[in-house]
Amino acid sequence: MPESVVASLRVRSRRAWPAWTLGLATGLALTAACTDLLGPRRNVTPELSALDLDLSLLSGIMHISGLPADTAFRLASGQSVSVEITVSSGDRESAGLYRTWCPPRPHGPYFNCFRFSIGMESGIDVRTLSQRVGGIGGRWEHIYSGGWLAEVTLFYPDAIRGAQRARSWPGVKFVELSWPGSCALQSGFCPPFPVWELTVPVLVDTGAAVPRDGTMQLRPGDTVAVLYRQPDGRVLEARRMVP
Amino acid sequence: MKRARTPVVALALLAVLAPGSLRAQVCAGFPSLRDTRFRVAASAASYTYATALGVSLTAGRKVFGTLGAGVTHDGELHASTYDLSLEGGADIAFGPERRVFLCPVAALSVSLGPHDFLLQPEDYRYVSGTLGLGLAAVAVRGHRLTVLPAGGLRAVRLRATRTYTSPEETIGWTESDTYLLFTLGVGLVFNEVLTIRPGVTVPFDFVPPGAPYPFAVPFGREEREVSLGISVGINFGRRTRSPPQDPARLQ
Repeated sequence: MPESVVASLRVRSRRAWPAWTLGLATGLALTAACTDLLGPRRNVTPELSALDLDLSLLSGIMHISGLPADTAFRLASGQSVSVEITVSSGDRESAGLYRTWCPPRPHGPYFNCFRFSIGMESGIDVRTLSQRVGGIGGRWEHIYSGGWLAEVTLFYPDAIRGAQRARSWPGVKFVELSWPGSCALQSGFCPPFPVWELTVPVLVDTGAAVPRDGTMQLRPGDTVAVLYRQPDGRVLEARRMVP
Repeated sequence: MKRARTPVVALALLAVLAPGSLRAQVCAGFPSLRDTRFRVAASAASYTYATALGVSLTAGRKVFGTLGAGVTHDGELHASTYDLSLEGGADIAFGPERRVFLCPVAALSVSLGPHDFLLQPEDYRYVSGTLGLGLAAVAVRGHRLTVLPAGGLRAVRLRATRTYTSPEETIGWTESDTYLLFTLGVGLVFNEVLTIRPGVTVPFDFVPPGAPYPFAVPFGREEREVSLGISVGINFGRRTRSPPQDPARLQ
């Protein structure tokens, strides 16, 4: 091979590879930088105007809810508002408030991030699915009379995924997301409701207190307190006695 | 044999990597197809609640055609739309050293989905026709790197159809809308082969509250929000230049 051709090939290969590498590196760096800068912070601390809790030993679910003072506040996906929960009998847990209503978009349609309904074929009781509901990280919120219809609460904000899984279970006739009032998808409009509301369902049982295990251990007569530290340092608190 | 493989590889890439809205050619920040026959490109665009991925294959010279396919996915709603687009246009060079380009383009796009949206028996379909004009300039031409800022304005006519199907009935709603789309990007072209092109798409007509319902539901729609994107393109299939004719043989 002539020397000039060999030299030309050397120059060509030296020129080509560093440029490609540089290009790819630039692309990756830009992508990584944008992802990092634009990604939501996981824990946020908006000012809350109200904090409440609703617990039922029957369903084994305690609902904590909070209302941001700014009605324009919308929690992004992956973000949460941290609260501390203490029980007079010794348990202590933390939980992350999330949006009650998904998705956080200006015009909806909105559905409950944590709940969906299951309707059964005629003659099949929804309680036959209890183990499966537990398997997807949920519990029965309500079982309606006759046992053909029930509402499931998940302990994570992904009602669509939970409902999609439930749709293939034996005996299930239909699944449906939980709409606010008459705000069904077909209607195309929603009545006024607090889109900015935050909530988190917490799993409850009546065993011995095990702090930080993700489950509230409660007994009748216990007092449950939920605490939230406002951005200015003040503490907002909600208390309930277990009936 | 080698030449026959390249289009096959490109089509395979097109099939494997899903889509997004890809704008080809100089006025979108890609190098022209003067020296190569084809370009394959992959793109990603970020919307507030959705991500669009796409691939495209471009062929031509001064006049080009681009076939694109893509998917736009909303992770929170577990819903996707699938897009197909066909675009044609031309790169018209002018100015000193022909470093400025004007590019008329026309495109036809079809988006299918979301299907079974929010667990309801509803399907969405969007068909759009686009006419646009782009402008680009070679800002920097270095030894290995060319910087190609480009912008464009497109007028889009969109027809959206929502179909609700139940065992008893099928109901359809159709709405049409026209909007303008402004695109801006910078192509970083390495060795006239590899292009990395970050860009932004800005719609002029945001869909207002109370808009017809087929427009209100979907996610990741270019006519609804500003989106940031990045495209990577590779030119291939180098053109063979015809050897200079020997004057002696002509005689």
